Amino acid sequence: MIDSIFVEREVLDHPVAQEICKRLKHADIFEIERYQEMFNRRKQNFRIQKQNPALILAKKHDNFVLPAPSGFGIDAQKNYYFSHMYNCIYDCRYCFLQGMYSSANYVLFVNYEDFFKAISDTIFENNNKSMTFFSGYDCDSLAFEKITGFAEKALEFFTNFSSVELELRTKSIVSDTLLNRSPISNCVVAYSLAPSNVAAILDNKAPSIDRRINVLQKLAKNGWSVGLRFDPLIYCSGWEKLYSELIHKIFNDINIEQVHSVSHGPLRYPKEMYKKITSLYPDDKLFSFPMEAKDGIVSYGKEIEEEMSSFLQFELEKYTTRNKIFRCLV
Amino acid sequence: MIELPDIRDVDLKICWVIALEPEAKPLIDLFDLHPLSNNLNFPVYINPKSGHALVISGIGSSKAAAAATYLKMLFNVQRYVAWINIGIAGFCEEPIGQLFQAIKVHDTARKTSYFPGFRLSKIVKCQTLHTVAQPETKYSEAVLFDMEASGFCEIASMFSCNELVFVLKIVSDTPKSPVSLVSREAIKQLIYQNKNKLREIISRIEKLVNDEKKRLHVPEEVYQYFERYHFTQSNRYRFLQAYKKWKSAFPDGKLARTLAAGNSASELISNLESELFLAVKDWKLK
Repeated sequence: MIDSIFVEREVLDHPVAQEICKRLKHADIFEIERYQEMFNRRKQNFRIQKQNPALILAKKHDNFVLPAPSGFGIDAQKNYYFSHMYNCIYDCRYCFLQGMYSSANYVLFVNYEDFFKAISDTIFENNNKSMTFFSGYDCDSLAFEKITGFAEKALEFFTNFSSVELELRTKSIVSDTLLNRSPISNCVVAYSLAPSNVAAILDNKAPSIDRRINVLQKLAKNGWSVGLRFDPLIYCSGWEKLYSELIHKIFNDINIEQVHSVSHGPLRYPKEMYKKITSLYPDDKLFSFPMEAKDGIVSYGKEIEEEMSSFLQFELEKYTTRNKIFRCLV
Repeated sequence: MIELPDIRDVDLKICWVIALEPEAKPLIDLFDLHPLSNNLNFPVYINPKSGHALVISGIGSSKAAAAATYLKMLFNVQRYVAWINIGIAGFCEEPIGQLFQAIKVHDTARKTSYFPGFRLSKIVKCQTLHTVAQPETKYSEAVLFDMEASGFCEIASMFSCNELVFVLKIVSDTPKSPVSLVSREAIKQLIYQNKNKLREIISRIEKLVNDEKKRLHVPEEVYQYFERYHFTQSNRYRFLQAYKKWKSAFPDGKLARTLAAGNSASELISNLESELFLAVKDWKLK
């Protein structure tokens, strides 16, 4: 899978870097100074690079924990996110990462200890406030777990902070890390979901919706809190029926008590990001839709957004209570 | 010999930048390239049918950069074209004749690194390359050594994209077999003996080029409207964006029919957008 690893000189001896190089023993290893010299280089072609991304092992120096964008949270007073990795092994056509980074290579920050230190500092600074930490904003939280082992370490860390929530956002069905241990009450395993035939077209290289649903139902049966994330909502002919059937399928065989939260959000891009992504895939029908550009944001437009949001809300309330449903408006 | 006036119409796929004539000769044979003219600053060879062009730069990083620029200007080389620098290199270990793709190129004088090319690791081994100002005789690090690649990488990626700039090196000298013993004939043989591997590499690169060409392609029918109507720069961009969406939504649609009622740039754009809006209700993702 990964045939080349570029390692910052500074982390060559870091135990996580060494462990990963050992796990990917067939990969060639190249030394670099700083990940930015490769990752941020101009004139890279994301689309071509995505056919064979390299792994970059780096050290993060600052901004370990950042406030989540407003409208991203699920009920907590304070919402933060952290990104131990940039980019994702999946190739979902709508993903904002393809417009955010000029490189499709994966960057993994191996100094996990500094992330956990920054998270605990943030927790102490916000004493007595309800908090959620989101993982999987710039990557998938579990898809690379067999290589990184990050989620396992994060779970161990968050067992010490039971009043603070951790959300692992994923499309991965690699659930051993979770199923092989007792559930942690303050961890939410949140699955990104879309109707099967929509995901079959757009969620390239990601597990099918049926497999995702199987795993999330299994996790719930094993006592894990699960989150359902219908984000972004994708418009197409017959979307009402497709989303209605999807929601029914999920709730049909799940212990509702284990559903921590459900959120849905529209497909939106900052204008420049949209321009960049559409230039990568000019033939894709997702991007030939006559989107609306307003106040620097490109979207389906208010009418479609409202219609989809109301419909989702109505359908979800058939199965769960209103206080568990959130509209994400990033 | 090919007449100069025709050359800007050549649909190129691959541009080769080669330091030495003995390195170029096997490629000239392999891809059936012909000299373009005797009156050029750098010797240039071309096969218009296969879309390959080759320039011989001479030794050194700045000459490689200059020759790449020369080729680009000569043929007005398009953004989707791949650029390849192939040549001999020193290495700390045998075997002589081993072909590598350099995926990290470090300029030792300027202390700058480049990371050229889509990695072809399924076909060819990857290695780090140091571009040096003088031939390396100590082989002090476990990397390849050449004298051109960094200049080539810096310039060629400006003409195309980083992923379509390739540096391929064949080991010609090692501590056991020093560079002073490398003859012109030996250089030719080193390239010839890798011809099958090179064909495989070129086939993969051509696929990338074709995909990129398709992505960037603007059909002739768009230019016809640009010629027929007055477009501001901004309307030209809007028309092109609307056209691309329209074409993706209606691949079999007839542009002339959709735009029949338009008499100005904004009307033409509006016609394309209207047809898209009408299709929203039954929007398919595929």
